[in-house]
Amino acid sequence: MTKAFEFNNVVKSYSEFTLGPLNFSLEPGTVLGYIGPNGSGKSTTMHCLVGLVKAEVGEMRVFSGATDPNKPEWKLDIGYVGDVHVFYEGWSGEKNLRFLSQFYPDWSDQRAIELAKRFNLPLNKKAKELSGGNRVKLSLVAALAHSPKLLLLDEPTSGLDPVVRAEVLDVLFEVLQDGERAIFYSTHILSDISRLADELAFLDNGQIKLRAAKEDLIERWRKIAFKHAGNNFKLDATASHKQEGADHQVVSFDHETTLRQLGELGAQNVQAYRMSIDEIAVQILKGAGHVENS
Amino acid sequence: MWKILDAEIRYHRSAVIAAFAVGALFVMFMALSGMVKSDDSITATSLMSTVMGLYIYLLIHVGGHQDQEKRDRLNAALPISIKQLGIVRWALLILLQSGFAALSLVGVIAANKFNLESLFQLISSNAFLFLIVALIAIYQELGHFGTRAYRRIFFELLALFLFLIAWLILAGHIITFLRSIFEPYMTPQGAAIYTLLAIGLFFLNVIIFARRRSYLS
Repeated sequence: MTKAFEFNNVVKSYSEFTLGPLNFSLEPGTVLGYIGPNGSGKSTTMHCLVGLVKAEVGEMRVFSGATDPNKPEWKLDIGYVGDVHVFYEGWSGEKNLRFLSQFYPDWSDQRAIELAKRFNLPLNKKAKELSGGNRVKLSLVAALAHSPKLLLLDEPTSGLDPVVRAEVLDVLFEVLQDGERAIFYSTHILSDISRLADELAFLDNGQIKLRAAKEDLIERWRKIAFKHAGNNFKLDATASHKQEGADHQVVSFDHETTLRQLGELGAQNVQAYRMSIDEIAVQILKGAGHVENS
Repeated sequence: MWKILDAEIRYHRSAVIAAFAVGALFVMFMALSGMVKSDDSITATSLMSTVMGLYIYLLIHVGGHQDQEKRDRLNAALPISIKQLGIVRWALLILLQSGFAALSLVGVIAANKFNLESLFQLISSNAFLFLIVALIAIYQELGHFGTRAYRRIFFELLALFLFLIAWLILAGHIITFLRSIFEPYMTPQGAAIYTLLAIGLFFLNVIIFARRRSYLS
């Protein structure tokens, strides 16, 4: 099946940071949340994919086409909202959209106007006069107006106040309801993506530590509290383990395995609690090296 | 790729019109006032310095906006080939420079001093100006290679050139050297050599742009 995008052994090196080797892909119609702390390489991954940065090693493909910078047809399938929103600053939003529309045969003015209305975006204002939130909205309108098959969103809500962020996410959620688009959404704000994502990939220091379906993570991860007098035992499938006297608290990435083991150990007052995606992400990124790929 | 050129012209329309209007007025003023006939050297110097000044003003204006507004970043994400983008970045400058060259030509014709020598001089001086702009641009492009090695080579070549100039000054050969550079200005061979050098640097710049490792700024 044709992938929305593929990374094959992609490496991008800077003097003090190396991204990759990255080997992953995205199925059409899937929303992949790309989670990682600042400086983990999320934006660099996006930059490589959209052609703003050249990787030294490896190959990327978008809908089966190689990402050749001199055969740019593959970019027609991409809608990109970057970490920096660049426009002709002296032009109005409308004029900027008109400029961009020339490059995309599938561009719909009607769709652009509808989106701008939904975003409550003043298209007559010059780009340099737009607030941070409105700049993001203008980028989103530009990225969505040609109905791309692959949407790349690089921390689109970063720097926005909570009200505007919620507003942008609401509209984005509505727009993405059709389920036809593949979306690659990078963020370090988990609450943004937990609503939208089908799958999550966790990036740390340039490496993908874990990729899993969101539902799988929610289903498998548990915070488990129990009492056990001994302390000379080791539990499998745990990301962390705290102990105070006979009280233990572990975070398990496969609660069935951990609970079974606790039963065998004769642990008392065993209680398992569901974890939010935020809590799971923190555990994965804190102890990424110990978490098995589920 | 002409869509980008068209956008750039429209975006900088006011500044371009203003600069050309000032230039045209200056040429008209000189032609009408009779200055052209009183002292040719003053006329030529005034005309050239005005045209150069206006061109430099436009270069700073256009280049400043392109850098500040991260135009490379905007355009590199569009479905347009990087080589075409490398060419079109120069198209506006070439267009502007051609416009000013035409203005200079009108000035020379208005001064009743048009001959083949002045035409070759115009071609050579425009090519020379382009060479300088292209060298500055190449230096900037090399900053996007993600390594300082290329810029170091550029600096080493520049240092070598300055050392050569210093040596020529000390040895008393600088006048001969400058003459050897500027004497061919008015000859067809000189015009051809400068033009070929300018074209060579133009393509070198396009190649360097296409091989940049980053288009983020």
